Amino acid sequence: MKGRNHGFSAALLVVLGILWSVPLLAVAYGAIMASDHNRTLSYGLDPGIARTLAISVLVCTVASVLSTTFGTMAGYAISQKRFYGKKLLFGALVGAMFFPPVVFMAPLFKIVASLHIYDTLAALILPSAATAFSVVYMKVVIDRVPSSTLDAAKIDGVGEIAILTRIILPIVRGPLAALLVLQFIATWGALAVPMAVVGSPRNYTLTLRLAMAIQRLYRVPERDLLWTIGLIAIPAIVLFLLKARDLITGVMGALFRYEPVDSDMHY
Amino acid sequence: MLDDLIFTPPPKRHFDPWAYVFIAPALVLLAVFLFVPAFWALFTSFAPEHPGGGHLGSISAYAGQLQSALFWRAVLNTMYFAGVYVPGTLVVGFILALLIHRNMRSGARLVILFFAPAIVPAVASGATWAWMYNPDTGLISRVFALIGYPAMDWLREPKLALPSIAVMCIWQSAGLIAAIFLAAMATIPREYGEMADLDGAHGVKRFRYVVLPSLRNATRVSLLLLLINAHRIFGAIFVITRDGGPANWSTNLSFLVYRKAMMQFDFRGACALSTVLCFTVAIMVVLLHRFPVRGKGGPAGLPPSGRAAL
Repeated sequence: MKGRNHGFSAALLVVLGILWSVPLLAVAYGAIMASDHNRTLSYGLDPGIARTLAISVLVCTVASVLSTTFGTMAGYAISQKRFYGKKLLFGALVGAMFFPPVVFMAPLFKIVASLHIYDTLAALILPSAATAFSVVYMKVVIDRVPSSTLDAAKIDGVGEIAILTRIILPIVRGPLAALLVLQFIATWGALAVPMAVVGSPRNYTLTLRLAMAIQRLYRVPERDLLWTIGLIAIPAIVLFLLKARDLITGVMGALFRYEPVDSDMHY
Repeated sequence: MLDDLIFTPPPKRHFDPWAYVFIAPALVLLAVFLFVPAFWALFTSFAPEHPGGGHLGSISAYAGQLQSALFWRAVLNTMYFAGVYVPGTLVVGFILALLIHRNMRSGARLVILFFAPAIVPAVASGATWAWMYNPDTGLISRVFALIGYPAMDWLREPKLALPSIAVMCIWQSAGLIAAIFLAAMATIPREYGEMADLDGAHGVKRFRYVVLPSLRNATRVSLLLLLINAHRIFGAIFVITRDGGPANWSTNLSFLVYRKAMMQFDFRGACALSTVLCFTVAIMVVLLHRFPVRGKGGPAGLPPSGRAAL
């Protein structure tokens, strides 16, 4: 496409690129400008930010590792095996991805309360430890593995579990890592689910803590606000940059095969 | 190349009980935290108003919603939001994709820049924009002051609150939509462009007959994604206008579900609303999914592309 307007469109693109990065750059600038004293980021919530951060990292790490593992196992079975109820299960999972996360708030609250895990770490982890998205995503990914490879392994007498761990996992390494990152970011930024399952500020995740502070205080001190925004945004952006190509390709792949994509992570 | 890898169906196999071993962990967790909650919500929405005071199959929760002015306000707000957000993101994302496509060498990296806001959690970006919308000290008001417009209290002005949130959401989603269009544009074979050149189709004509027809599927996917997103916006409202105000003007259906469930503990009402919301989304998905775009291809006789794009 060698048009005459090439220079113009390039310039416009640069201007838009700058415009797009203004909000996050402004936060970074404001946070640096506002960091004067050694106060901790408490803004009216009792426990220190360290505990909140530790809870967030723990919950997101465990939940994303579990949901990726379980998603891979289930995705493998749905992709490669025949069993009763497969179509129903897969249809239900694809359907579940469409639903807005808030509709699960009341039922999750009820379920978690009746399991006697309300306001615990388990309540934060378990609902995110298996997601419809991870199963559907891995099913689509494993569909791409050439069936001849798997048949050859079967003939050679490779065991059931070894087929998954030794044959399939090395082939799907890239998309698998992308899924891990996506699940981590989704849990990291989740609001509806944590809000439904924990009640006391000492069990808040970082995202929930910021959201609740904004809800409760008329005005969160600017320094606290900006630093917390940074704390939430930076891990997500760093993880994204690490796997950007795989992530975009992976999301696009899932999108064009089964249109819905888990957008719980940000909307 | 990926196309035949993706769409080669797995061979037919015999029933394999090992499958249940592999799906068991995911199935158990999903059953407890996804399927049971979903059915509980559906069940609750049809439960009698007072325990023991009637039988299942009561539609009074739905009737109550239909009679409440707040419900209709939320429906209008959801449509109002979608009316700004969906076309806005589609247009901005499309322009971004065109610009990046024209400058492919440097542009490929810029996709990541535009995509990044989609990765930042809604609470963080919502807080960022609320900070920028501050009428006194916010960046946006300062820029407006600089070019001589009076600063407005964007988030307290009933008709401006929701569009202000929509602008933030356009910033968030445009990169994703651009990536979808770019993926579709990348599948247009170079020969089509060369043939169009030989036939004397340049500029607008080439765009009309070569590029546009191959973007139909991408448009459909984008539209679907944006419409679904428009119905799930919740975190942004929670941190930007906080209470769905001013005077409920930023309360959409998702936010109303939250208010009913977590603030008024009216689970029946919340579940009835949830059912209506999910049903609406499902209808849109089915309609758009059935939308015939795969038919005969574009006016130029090109096969509609876009599937398995990258």
